[in-house]
Amino acid sequence: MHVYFVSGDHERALADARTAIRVGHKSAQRLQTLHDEYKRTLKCGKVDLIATRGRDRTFDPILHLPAELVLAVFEHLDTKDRFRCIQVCWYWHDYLTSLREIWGGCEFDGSWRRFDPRSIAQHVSPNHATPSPLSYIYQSFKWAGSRLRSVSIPDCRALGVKQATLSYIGESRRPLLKQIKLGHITGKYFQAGDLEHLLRRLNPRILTHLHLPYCSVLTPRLLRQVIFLCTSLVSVDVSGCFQHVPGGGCVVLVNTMRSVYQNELVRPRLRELICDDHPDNIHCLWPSVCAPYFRDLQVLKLRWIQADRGAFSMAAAGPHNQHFPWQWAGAHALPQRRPHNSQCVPVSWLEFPSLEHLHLDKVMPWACIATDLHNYTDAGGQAITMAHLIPRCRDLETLILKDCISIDGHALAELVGSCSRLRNLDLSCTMADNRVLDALLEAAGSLKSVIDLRLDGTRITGAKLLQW
Amino acid sequence: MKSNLVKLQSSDGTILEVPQEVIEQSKLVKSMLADCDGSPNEGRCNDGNLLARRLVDHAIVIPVPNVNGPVLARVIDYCKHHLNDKEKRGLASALRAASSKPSDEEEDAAIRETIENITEWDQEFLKVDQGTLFDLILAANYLDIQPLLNSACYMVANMMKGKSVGEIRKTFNVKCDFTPEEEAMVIADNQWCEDI
Repeated sequence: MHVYFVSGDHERALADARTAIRVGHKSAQRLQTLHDEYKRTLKCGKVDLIATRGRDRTFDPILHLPAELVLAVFEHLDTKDRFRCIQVCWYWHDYLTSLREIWGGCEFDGSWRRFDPRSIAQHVSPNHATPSPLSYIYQSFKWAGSRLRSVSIPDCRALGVKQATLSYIGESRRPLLKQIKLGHITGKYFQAGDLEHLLRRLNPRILTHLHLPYCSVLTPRLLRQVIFLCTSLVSVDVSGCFQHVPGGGCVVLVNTMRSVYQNELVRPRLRELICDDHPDNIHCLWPSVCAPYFRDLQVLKLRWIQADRGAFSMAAAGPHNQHFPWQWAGAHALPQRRPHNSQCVPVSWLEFPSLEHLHLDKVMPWACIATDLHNYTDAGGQAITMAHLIPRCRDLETLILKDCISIDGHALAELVGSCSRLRNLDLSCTMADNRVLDALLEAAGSLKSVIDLRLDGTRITGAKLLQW
Repeated sequence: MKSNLVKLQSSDGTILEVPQEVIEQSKLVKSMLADCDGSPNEGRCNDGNLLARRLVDHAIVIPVPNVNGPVLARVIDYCKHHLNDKEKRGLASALRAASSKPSDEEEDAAIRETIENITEWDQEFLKVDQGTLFDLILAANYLDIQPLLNSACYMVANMMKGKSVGEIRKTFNVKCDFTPEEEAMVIADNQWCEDI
């Protein structure tokens, strides 16, 4: 082995020294000599080691470094560089976007699919000292930029969201924004124009979810425009929005749907309808759910429609009581009103072959279906039972009968038995007793597919369950 | 105490002798030595995972199984050069607070300072090929030499800074495995950051 150390031949000397070290000379002294020379070479400051070694050994920092060191590297990079790095290859893209710390605590999967200010508040790094949740929101919007796909602020009042925030959401280009969930946009801080301004700046062909519960600045006209323009819209929540409009939210919704979809060319796509509204309004929605524009409906959430306990006690008094407060809401009342129309409400349930989730907690008609419809006949004189009502809902996966007072065990068993895909059955807070459970068990295999059965608040005894 | 030599044994078996105060910049070695000093017997002392032996000549051999000889030599170079820094800093802090010892916070502040200003010497020192730089990072991480780690990470970041995606790929020899459609989508997704 030779060590060349004449001036001008640093590179070769260095290369030799390094080779020697790499080959592994056991003698420490020799190594030290080499090392000293190596150091001296370095001190010359003229040798470009990159040139010496060439680029024969490259390494992929993201692939080879542990996460904490990747973070250390990214501390030195600014936003632009960080976003360039995720465009390099799939591995870089997936790995880097999975590291929350790089993105200021925001969850990021290349699509910013979830935006939750609370999670951001937990994970934001101490360097970004920000006083209020609103700042996190702004920061996240800024980070998300045009890739923002979903905004969810369940209660705008609690977070102090005001007019400026709304205009900020709509300010920069948001061509990918698909889901908007903004609760409690009230007239105290907002005007109708603010919401309109926001909605007008969205890409109407992309918006799929529009949830504006308790939004007092939403007007029927604006809702109609949005539903008409947004051709991809599948989910609408207008709970408590139109409390000052005569007839309430259900009326507005039905009128809107009717006016939008009267033109057959527009194909209705609405899958999910949420309207937690005043009980008085349901009678408008009820007969219309069989209309063609609701035919694709898969999720119908109508909670709190009949929350009044008084109504339950009156229901128990008998179906033919003239003073039934829920006659307009109850299933059997409608055929009475339209005796010549076979399209009564119970039949309308048959019109949902794709119905998958049925949320009917605290809805009176279901209790009435379970009990009173035994003795009820439709326009054709046929007796209607629970099982008769939903023979075609075989795809039903969720059945929530929470707070439905009286349940006929046999009818329920028959129904459950016919729904082979039923997974969630909620009987909590019903009057279901041991006999109901017996009936359910008797119907062979009716509970086979059920994986989530809720029986809290029922009269079923523990001993019975144990026996089962 | 000052004349104490510490012997480091690298992964390939080479043993390098270093003055104790030089290698004490490595927090790992420092804590190991502290543990050894406390042990009464001349035999072995165990500090968890690593075993250090006190030899007859009172030098201590510390195995550094994750680092090979050349890289270890470079790390020692670095430590030797930065030995004075530490003294300077120690002196400064001593002047600043003659009575109190430098706290962890001050040390952290010093580390942060080094993040901000990477010296020219460091930059020259770290102008090595990527493989070596990578080894140095891992070694600094293992030996817990924070300033070297920061400088090295800065150098890696520097390789990405201000470069286009193609240049980054070229620098690290990364193959682009996006399909043309995917690439167009990814570019479109990130176009906005170019407008900042």
